[in-house]
Amino acid sequence: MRVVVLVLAGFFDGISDNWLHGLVLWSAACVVGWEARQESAGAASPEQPLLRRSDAGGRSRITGGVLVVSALAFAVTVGSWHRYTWPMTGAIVLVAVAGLATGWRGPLTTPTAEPAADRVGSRLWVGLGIAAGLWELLALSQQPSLTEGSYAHPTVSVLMDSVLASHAGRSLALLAWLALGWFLLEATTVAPRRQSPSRTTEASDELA
Amino acid sequence: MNWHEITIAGYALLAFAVVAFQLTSRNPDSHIPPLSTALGRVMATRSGRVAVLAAWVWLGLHFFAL
Repeated sequence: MRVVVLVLAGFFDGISDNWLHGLVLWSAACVVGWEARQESAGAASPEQPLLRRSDAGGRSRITGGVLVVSALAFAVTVGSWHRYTWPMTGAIVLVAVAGLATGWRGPLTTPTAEPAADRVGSRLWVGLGIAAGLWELLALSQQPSLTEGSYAHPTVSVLMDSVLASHAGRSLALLAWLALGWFLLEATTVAPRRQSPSRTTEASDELA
Repeated sequence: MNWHEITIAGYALLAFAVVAFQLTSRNPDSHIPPLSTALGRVMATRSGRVAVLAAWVWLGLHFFAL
């Protein structure tokens, strides 16, 4: 499923005259497909949490502070550069590689198990993601051409063009992108929700 | 209502649904997990993490890079 989504996304990006980005997505699809095969065959290389839980406390506050300041400095500095230029591309690629390398290495801390009852709810999130993708695809299909935006049927890219035209807009968007990356990396460390006494759970309460 | 407003309304509805799901997930009796939990399930394996992070990388490339 993940491979199919990545291949399709790469295809639509490619036919929108972004073959380089399409290539990135297809490369990711190849890597994900290969790794998934390794995992199903039980041959995947072992993972280790990058952080110990004992890292919580003063040390993590300092690390968190450094990360926040670095993110702000990155957003303000790189946000002053124009889009679709080599310096901006280099900065984005640098952060992207760091994020991917961190994610490849392993989860930030030991993941927790999710209660079985939440599997149905998780599918609602998947459905929402699919709906968002289809709505975007619908807008894309109504454009005069795949490379020309439409006021009547704006895609998210078209809507963001006015926001990203200014330094402040680009800085805020970069900050949001960095925050999203951190959120995704931290998602592998999520603690189980507190369950009401009437519900059974399989998750441990270690992170509480 | 023109097509521009309909399209914007669609995006707004999707954003509202995200917020509604996330707020609903705060209820201990809710069957909807927080977004971080749902993503955590996908990202529990290396292939899942790489797939989700690849989508995040694509976002950065799409809006900013060559």
